Amino acid sequence: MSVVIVDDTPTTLELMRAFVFRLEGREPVTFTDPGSGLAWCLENDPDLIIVDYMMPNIDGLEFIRQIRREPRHDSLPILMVTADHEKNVRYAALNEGATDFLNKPVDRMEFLARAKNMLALRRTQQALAERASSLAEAVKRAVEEIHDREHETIVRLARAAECRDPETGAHILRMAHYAQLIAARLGLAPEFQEMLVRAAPMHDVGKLGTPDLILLKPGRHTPEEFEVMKQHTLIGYEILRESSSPVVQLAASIALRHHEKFDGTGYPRGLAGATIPIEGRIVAVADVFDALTSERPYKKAWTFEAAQVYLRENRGRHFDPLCVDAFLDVWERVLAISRRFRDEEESVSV
Amino acid sequence: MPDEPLFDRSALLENLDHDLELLRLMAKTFVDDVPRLLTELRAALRAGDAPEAARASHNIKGSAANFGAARLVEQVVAMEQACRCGELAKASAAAKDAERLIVTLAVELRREFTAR
Repeated sequence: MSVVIVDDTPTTLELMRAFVFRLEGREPVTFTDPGSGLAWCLENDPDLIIVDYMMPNIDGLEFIRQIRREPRHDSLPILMVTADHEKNVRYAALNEGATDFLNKPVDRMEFLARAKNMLALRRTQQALAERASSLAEAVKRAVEEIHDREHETIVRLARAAECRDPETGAHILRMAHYAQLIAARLGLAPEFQEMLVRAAPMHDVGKLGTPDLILLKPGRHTPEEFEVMKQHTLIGYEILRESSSPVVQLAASIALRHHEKFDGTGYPRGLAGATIPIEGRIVAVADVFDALTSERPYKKAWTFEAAQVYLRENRGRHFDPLCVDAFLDVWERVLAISRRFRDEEESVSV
Repeated sequence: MPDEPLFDRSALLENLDHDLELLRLMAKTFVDDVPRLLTELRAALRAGDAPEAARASHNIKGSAANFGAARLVEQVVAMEQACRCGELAKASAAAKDAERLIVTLAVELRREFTAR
């Protein structure tokens, strides 16, 4: 423990120095000049200050006032040395924040007992502060762990859906990042963009409930089969809805709305325009663009230019014009994402 | 009475838990400090600066009290009191006796670290 003594009387200072050494086995820092003592205390982290009352320039009261002005020192123990008949001085010192007093002339037994109490108080303060900070650290770690687990669950769910689908893990990553690009270009909050990139991979989770015969059928679906196929939006929503996780809530909305079209001709509800939530409008562009430019068992990959033309032609029809514009505005970054997540990379780790 | 030592050696030793080395250190510290204590007091009285004289008196009182020098403390208390009341003539008179006692105490204390 670091003890500071400030007293302009050299003999008293020597006496107290010897007592502190006896108590702590360590030399205190001593000052006969209160100004230097104050400057030292404000720059360092003492554990106990013992300060005389009557000193030149800065008296004990002013000294304590200046120490207490430093937020770091608001609970630092301070002992003030006074004659015991100076009652008014003691009241004033208590008002300024003195913790306790020492009588003059300094008595060994009293000095040792009070200084020991003050140091014990300090140790308790430090132990409490350490405990509080280690608890805060533990809570922070626990929250991070929960976030990580939540994300892991989401990725595993997306992977499960992927097993039933010819679409690849790389598709899921590309469309999620395209969606984030659009959200960023539209000026949506960074927190929303972050949630979107995590939620978008689950958009087709409902395909877990689509029969293999229909899901894996090569070539065109009959109108009846297509009706069944459409159900994946509702099944996905059922799987994900009412989650306590905001990311999963967003994923539920995406699963339900990513096949709605801006002109109201989509499914499952035929919503139009701004009644389709923004995440649904964004993912529609991202998902279709990547589907067109990917190779599938039943089709060749479109060129990027052809897909770009398709987006333009369907601007305001299938797609929200603002989302198409946002996507085309950042074309270089679209190309960068497609290079970053090539189809060979099968793993779904973001 | 004047032959009785000012310095209460046994009381101080008791308070120091019979640490002779510390006793010597304190004695030496006091003796070294005497010129400063006297200079400050004289300068303040000469300048007619009552608050400064009171502070110098207080300082002497604190130092003397560490050695149980009761007669000196008594004298200095009277001097400090006079200074606080602005009675500098009375304080100057008390200062004469106080100075004499300070010197006496210094002589007694010097023995502690020059003996042997």
